Amino acid sequence: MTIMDLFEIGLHAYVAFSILYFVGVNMTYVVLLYRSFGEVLHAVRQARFTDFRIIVQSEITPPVSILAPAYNEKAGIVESVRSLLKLSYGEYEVVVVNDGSKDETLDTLIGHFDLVRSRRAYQASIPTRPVRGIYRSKNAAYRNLTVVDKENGGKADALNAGINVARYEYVCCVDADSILEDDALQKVMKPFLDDPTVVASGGIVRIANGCEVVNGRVVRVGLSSHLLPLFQVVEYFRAFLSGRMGWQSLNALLIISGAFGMFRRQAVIEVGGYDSGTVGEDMELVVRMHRHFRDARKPYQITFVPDPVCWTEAPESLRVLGSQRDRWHRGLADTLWIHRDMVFNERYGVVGTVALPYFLIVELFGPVIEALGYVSLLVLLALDRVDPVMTGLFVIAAIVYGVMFSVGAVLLEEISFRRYPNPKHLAVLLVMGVLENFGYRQITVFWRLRGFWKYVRGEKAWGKMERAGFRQPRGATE
Amino acid sequence: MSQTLFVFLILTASVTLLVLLTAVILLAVKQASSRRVRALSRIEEHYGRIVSEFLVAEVSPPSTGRLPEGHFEGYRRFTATIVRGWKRNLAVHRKAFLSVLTSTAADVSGETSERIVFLAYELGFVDELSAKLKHRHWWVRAEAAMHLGQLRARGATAALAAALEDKHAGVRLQALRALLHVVGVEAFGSIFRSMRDLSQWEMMEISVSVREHGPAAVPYLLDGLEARDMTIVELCIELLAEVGFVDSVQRLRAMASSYPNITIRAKAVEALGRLGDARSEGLLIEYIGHPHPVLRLRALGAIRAIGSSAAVPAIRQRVRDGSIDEKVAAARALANAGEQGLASLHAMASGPEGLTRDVVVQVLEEVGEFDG
Repeated sequence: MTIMDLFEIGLHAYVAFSILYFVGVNMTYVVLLYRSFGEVLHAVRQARFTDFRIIVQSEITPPVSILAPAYNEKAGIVESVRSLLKLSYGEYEVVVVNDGSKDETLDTLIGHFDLVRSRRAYQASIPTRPVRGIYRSKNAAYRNLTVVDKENGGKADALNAGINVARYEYVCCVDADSILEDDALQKVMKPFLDDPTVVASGGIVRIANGCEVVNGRVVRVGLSSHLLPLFQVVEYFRAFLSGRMGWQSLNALLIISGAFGMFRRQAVIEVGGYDSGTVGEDMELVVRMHRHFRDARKPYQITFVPDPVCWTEAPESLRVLGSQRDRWHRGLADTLWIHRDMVFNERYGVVGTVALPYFLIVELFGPVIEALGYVSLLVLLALDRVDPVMTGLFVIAAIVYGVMFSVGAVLLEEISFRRYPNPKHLAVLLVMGVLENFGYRQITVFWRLRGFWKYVRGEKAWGKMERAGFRQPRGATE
Repeated sequence: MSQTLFVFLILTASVTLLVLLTAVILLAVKQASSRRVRALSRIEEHYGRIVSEFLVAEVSPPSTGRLPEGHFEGYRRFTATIVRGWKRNLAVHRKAFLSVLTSTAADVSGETSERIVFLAYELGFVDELSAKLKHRHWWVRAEAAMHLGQLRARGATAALAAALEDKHAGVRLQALRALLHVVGVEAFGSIFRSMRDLSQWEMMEISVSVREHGPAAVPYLLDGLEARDMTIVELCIELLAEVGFVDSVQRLRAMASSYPNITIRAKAVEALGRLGDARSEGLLIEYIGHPHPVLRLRALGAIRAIGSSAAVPAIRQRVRDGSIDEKVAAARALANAGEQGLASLHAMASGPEGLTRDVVVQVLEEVGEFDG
């Protein structure tokens, strides 16, 4: 047996493994999609019988602290804070944490909201970088606004400082550059009010590119005219409506987006707050919560609510999107590494035996397996060792599955929340569900591979996020 | 080459087919659903006109009293006309008619409202909806409870009361709202007797309803203090304080002192503060030094609400020795304890650096007394 023969056997074995992997992964997706359909229908039915006005009307509605970390957000910080101060909820406060911005974020806040330095006592329940000052407004209209100025320590550190300063039992972590819908806080709070064992709850994040924004509110839902944000709309549908809904039905949700998540403050303090040493702090916190509560044998729920909406601006350039995706992948790798003893560990129930192995095999190693699969196929085709028709059929099957899951996610949106009422939008999203399989999907595989490689080399930088700003309708005034 | 072309063609064709199929199904579903909505709204419009005519028609009114059967003849002639039109698509017509009845019921009162109730009974809606309260799907049960409430169907009171113990929270909430709609404040009796392990959401619903009924709800809240379920007791204490029923002070004092559950005791202490009655002062001062931290914290909050200068020495102790939460609560209580309290705070503000001084300065700043 020659080396060439061994090489060929190896390639064939890999192709066989790839096919098995492909079947396994797609079966998992089918199960997740199926469970998501049930969950979404349940959520829609629940919403029909829920009068959210109760939250505003009742005197015993638990108050909430909204935490918004800000780093070099001078351009949009005023609009974001004003939007957060106008949410429809009972009692709540907004805590903006200026994480050592190098621009005039703090000065802009001080000037616009009439802030003065407060003597408020600061107790570091979770250790953070030093806090330089706490500010409150002299203006009664902003009496529920607190600004914390601290030395730069990253998003996780800023959120921890916010948790330390927060006065209320529930903390809602949001990105300062995102837009919450008016009733988003009410809806994401509902699971906590229904079930005292809920410790965290996430809401859906949607792409705001192409939507019209006036005074910090999305007034008209639309689609971007650029291709990249359109692909991301479908991708977000898949990730949130299909993925997270499915996982939460098993109480095995591993990610609550950093852009919008509500937590029981005491639970976060109990697990030690966000880990400022990782770039995947949102996922890491949720996995640590699973670990903590399962170790302590305390009943707990981590939920996802598909209705409360947080709008965010998606990257429109390949460079920025690539940097975001490779950071996400590094965050995933880091979280799985930190909690490696939980993977395949039955002590952690579905989280240890199903969710974490899925994230390890499908999400983390998926790009590696997929890239090697492409290479093996090309080599075997070049050596004329595989049947091109069979190869073609396999590729077709892969694409059809990809299209099916994307279209399934668009369908989920259509039967449930219908945020895109225009039939033209629906048609565009369906087409994107097909087109993303030709190029976009492959380039995301490359970014994730790059992230994996960077993680192996120990790179922990966040990368720079550039934003074009939300679209204002013509004639709109601030 | 031909093989590649073949593969390419299959690929394109299958993907296109899949997308086309989905798009067609989606559009068909959208079309069908909008057609159904349009048809239903046409039927509703038709029945809306008929019901409006009936509501203003000169026919002898139904009555809650026992009147001869002939009294309702005028109404029955009307219902017979409606039923005659239901030969085809019975389910759709009944659905539309029910929708008209429930939406009209929300806008009318008095004799007009009773006509709606009559129609609901006469056309069998009340029986049908009461039966649906036992349906296997929770959303059907919840919808039935909701409609019975909107129709103010007193005949369904027992069924709705039973639904308060439904295993699904969504049904329980609809039954709760419906009962309040149907029998008014008396519903609180059933609610506090039947419901168990209230969620925070259920408590919030009840609190809003109690606020709507005001003092009329007090007797039921007092009865609720005797409930076996702790969540009911806790809620009733909270609501007695919210309503401001000062006569409950004696009972709340007794509960604060000797109730076997510490959460309830803490709630009673808090309520005593909110009621602001001087009779509670002694007990609250005693509780500032209670060994249980929750009771201490609630007592500090309560004494702050009352504003007691007699409590100053005990509060000062908590500012110095308490946890951060206690320090803040105690400092706020001092700030509200008159000149003596404020003087204590100023003295502590010029004390040695540390958490106690930080807290005191924070509170002085809150009340506008910090001069730098």
